[in-house]
Amino acid sequence: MLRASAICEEAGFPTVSLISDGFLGQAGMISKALRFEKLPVARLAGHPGVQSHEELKRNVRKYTVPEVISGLTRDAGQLPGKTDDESAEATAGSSVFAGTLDQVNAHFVNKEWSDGLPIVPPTHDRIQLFLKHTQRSADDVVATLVPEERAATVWSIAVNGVMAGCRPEYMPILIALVEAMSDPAYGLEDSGNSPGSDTLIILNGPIIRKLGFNYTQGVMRDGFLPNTSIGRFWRLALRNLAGFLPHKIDKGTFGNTWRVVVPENEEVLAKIGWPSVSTEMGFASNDDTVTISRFAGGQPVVSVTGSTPEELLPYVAWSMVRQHSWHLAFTFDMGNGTLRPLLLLSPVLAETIAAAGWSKRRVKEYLFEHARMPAWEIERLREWQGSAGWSLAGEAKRGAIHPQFAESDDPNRMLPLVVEPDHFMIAVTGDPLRTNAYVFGHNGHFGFPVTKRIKSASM
Amino acid sequence: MTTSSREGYYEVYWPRAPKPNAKKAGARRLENLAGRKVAFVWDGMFQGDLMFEVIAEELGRTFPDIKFLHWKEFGNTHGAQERKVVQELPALLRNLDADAVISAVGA
Repeated sequence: MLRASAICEEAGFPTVSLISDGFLGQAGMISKALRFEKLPVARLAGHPGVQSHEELKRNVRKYTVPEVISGLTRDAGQLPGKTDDESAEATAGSSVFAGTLDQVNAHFVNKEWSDGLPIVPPTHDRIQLFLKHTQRSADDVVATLVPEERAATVWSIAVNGVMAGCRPEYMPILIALVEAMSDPAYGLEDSGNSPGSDTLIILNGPIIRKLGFNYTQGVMRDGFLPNTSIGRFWRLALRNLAGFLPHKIDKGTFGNTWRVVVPENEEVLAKIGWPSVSTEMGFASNDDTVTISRFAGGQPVVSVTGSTPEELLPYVAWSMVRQHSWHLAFTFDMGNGTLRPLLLLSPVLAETIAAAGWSKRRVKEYLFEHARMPAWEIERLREWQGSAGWSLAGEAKRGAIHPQFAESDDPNRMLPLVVEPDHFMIAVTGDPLRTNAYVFGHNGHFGFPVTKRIKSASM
Repeated sequence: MTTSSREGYYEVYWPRAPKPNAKKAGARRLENLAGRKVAFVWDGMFQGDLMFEVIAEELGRTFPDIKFLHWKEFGNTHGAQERKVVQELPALLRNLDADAVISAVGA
C-alpha cells in the first residue's frame, strides 16, 4: 500500500496513507526503505478489522479525517536529495568488529545482524574460501533487493553463508537463492506481511547427492548440515541483504522460523518416471536448481492407507482442503489464481500410485477434481475475512475470477482450490517406507514459486 | 580487552548489503482541498471502501466543491497485479486530472 503511495508522491501527487495503530511503526520504516523521509499518514485508531461500522465511521471522522487534510496540505518537510545520516552504515567489504567468539556474537546480536543463534564469525579467510566457489568477482551485484534496494554482492552473500554455518562449496546455491528471491514473480517485497509465511527451498539435481543433502527420513528436520545451514542462510539473507527485521519492516503476526532445504528423492522419481519439481518448472533433469515458494504452514497426512490411487488419494485430497482457508483469496479474490498448494508424497506412496499407471499429472487432476469446497463455504470464508457481500458471481461479473467458478449459482456446487490441475505442486521426498504425506498451505503471489539454476564455479 | 590466549580472536566483516542513501523528494502539498480532485486508491483490505465513504462525506462538508475519483478506477494495489497497477498509477492519475491521493489500508 505504501509502495503505491510512494510512486504517487514521486510523480508529484500529494498522498496520504491510511494506517492503523499497529502498523504505524512499520509504515515509518517502510517509508525510509522507500527512501522517503516520511510518507504522510493518517491514523486509523485501533484496528479496522475489529470495529463495527459505526465505531469505524466514528473513529475515521474523529482521528483520520483531520490527518488526511493536514497530510495533503501541510508541508511534511521532505527535502529533495537529502541523505539519511541517521542510518549511516558501514561500507561493503569493511571489517566492523574484532573480538572473541562471544564478543563477536554479542556485537552481531546488538546490531540486529544475527538471528539469535551463535554465528560463525565472518572473517576474511573464511569469506575467501566461499569466494573460491564462484567465478564471479566479490563486488559483483547479484541482485538489488527490495524493500530497501540493498545491493546484494557476491561478497555479502559469502559473509552470510559463513555466518549461517554453510560450507564454502554451498556458495553457488547461496547465489542462486539470492537470484531467486530477487525475481519479481516471487514477491520478495511482501516477505514481512502479516501471515508470517516462510519460504520452502526445494532442491533438485545431482548436487543433492554430491553435497550430501538429506532427502529421506526426517527431510524437514534440522540436523543435516547442508539442509539446515542453507535454510538458515535464507533468513539471514532476508535480514541482512534485503532488510526484513522483526518489529521493523517484518510484520508477520506470529511468523515462522526458517525451513530447512527439502531435496527431492530423484532416484525414486527416475524409477517411477515422474518429473521433478524443477523439470516441471522448465529445467533439464540434470540441472541443479533451487525452487523457492512461501508457505503459511503445513501438516502431515498420517497413515495414508490403500493399495491403489483410488484408495490412497481421497484422504490426501480431504487433507489438502482442510489446509486451506484464507489462502483461497489467492484463487478467488486478490490473488487472481496464484495459489500453488504443495503436496509432499513419501516415496512408497508415490511408487504405489505410479505402479497403477498414474502419472504425476493424473494425481494433480485427481486433486483438482476431489480437493474441493462448496461455493457457499468459500463465500463465507471471504465474509469472515471482512469482505462483506463478496460473492463468486459478483467477482465473475467484474472479471476478477476464472469464469468456471461462476458457471452455476448453486451454493452447494463443489469448486476446486486452484484454477487448473497444474497449479498443485507435488514433490517426492521423506522416509522412503513411511505411508505419510504432507500438505502445505500456500501464500499465493506473496511468495510465488520461482526456480533458478545453480551455476557451479566450473561452469 | 583481555582474552585468554586459547580463545580465538576474530576480525569480522559487515554482513549487510549496502543500500542507496539519497532520499527522494515528496510531492508539494496543496494550499487546501477546495476545488481539488482527490483519488481513492485501495488495496482491497479492512473496510477501506467504508473509510472512503466517510472521508468523502466529511471532506465534502468542509470543501463543498471537492471532487473524488472512485477506487474502482485504479485496480487493487495489493493484488496479483500489484506491480502493474502501481506502475500505471501516475499516468492514470494524470489522465483523470487528479490533484491528490488517499491510499488505504495499512493494517
